[in-house]
Amino acid sequence: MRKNSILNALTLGGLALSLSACGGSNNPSTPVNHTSYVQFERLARPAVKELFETFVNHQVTNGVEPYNDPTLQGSIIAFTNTFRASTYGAALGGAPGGTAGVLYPDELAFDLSQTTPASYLGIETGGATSPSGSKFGGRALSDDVIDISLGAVFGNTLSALGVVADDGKENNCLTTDNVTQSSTQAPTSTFPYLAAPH
Amino acid sequence: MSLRRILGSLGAVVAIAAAVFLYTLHPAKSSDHQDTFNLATRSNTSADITDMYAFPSPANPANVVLVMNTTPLILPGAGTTKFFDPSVVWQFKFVHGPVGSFSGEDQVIQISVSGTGAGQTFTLHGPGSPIQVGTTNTLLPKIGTFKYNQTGGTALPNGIMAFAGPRADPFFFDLLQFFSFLGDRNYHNHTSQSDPGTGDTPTGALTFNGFTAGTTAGPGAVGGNNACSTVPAQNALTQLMPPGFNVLSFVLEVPRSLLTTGYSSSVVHMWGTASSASGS
Repeated sequence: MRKNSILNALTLGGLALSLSACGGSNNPSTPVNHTSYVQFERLARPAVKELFETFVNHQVTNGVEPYNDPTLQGSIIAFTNTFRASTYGAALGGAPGGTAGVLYPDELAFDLSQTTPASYLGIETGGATSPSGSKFGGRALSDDVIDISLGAVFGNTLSALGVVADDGKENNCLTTDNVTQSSTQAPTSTFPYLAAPH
Repeated sequence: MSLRRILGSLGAVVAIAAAVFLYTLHPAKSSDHQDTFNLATRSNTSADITDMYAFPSPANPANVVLVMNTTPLILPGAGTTKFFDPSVVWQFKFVHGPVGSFSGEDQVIQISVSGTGAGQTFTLHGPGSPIQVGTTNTLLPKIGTFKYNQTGGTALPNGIMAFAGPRADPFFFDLLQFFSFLGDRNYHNHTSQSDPGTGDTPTGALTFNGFTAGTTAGPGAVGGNNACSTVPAQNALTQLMPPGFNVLSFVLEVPRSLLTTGYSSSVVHMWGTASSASGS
């Protein structure tokens, strides 16, 4: 009995060593790193922090989870309502609708069941931000994320979708910055897809 | 504002000089370029995440490409002189579920780096369930390693193709015109992270540039139905420093199955973080 126990232990130990030696995920020659790393920078959607949130509050947002941000949601609502009707930013607490309902939590959503091209805010808008109606979401390297964002805040992107009532306060001078991606920035068709450094 | 006037009146040669001035003395931010004093003033600015991307692989539809760009405003010609901060861990964090989910991450990919200079080695951890959910994390077991600036990518044991190194910054925006009416967002207009400065309230002509003559804000626009600016628009990421600024990129081509198997939803919500042992 005792011998069997020893043999079993040796066998299991040998199996464990074999598995860890074969797999890439548990290299026995690499010490386990138990260091705790503390977050001090966070980013997901483009232009969300930068457009809506004061510079002072960036430090706060960078140190918290996107679904538990004490400042960003209120900032989206307050900034939007500076330009739009008081209902346009939508209610706090994650209520759907309005700019806050679309842009909070600040996370980049994509649907891996979709085979169509990336389309910034394509899921949230049902494909309205994509010329082809793609609902993949995510963000392509050439997506004009600024114009899409400006359209949501200063234009009629959301009211056209019925996300919020049209308040008649669209500002044609702010719905596009009138710049396009330079040919020197254009993505490539081969890995790693971003253009070579200049 | 004064810089914009200078650029507009003195032409391209002076614009380049002004861009150098902007870069070296008064760093500016754009998509998320230099968005706090801490990130902008570190000796190595690779903790500063500028943009995140997620798109189907152009080469293999079974894969999705995840990109995290860091280190804003690297001058032309200087890309291969910039490296990653070995004290920092970068994470792609994911939560699966419908739009509007308010849950913590249920899957992460972590990247750590060792060494300095062009010999840097990166270690990929995950994707896997996080050991801790939230803002303090430890590393998952190692999956594999890859070297700095291997443009063909490195195939890792779990099927991920990985790259870390300099690339052209693909972001485009008329940054200076944005600053002209929302000055708070310009790092230069604050003396410290806690300095509220001025300019949080949009001021001046609320307009971007580049509109055709006769375009107006519209009858309901806040601030009045002013004429939109016909001054030529400018892509700050290329025109301030032709042919354009660079970034340090992490590019991961990931089999879709690694991000969907075992999860109830194919909709993934992603964000990026930079962390260190000191939290600063």
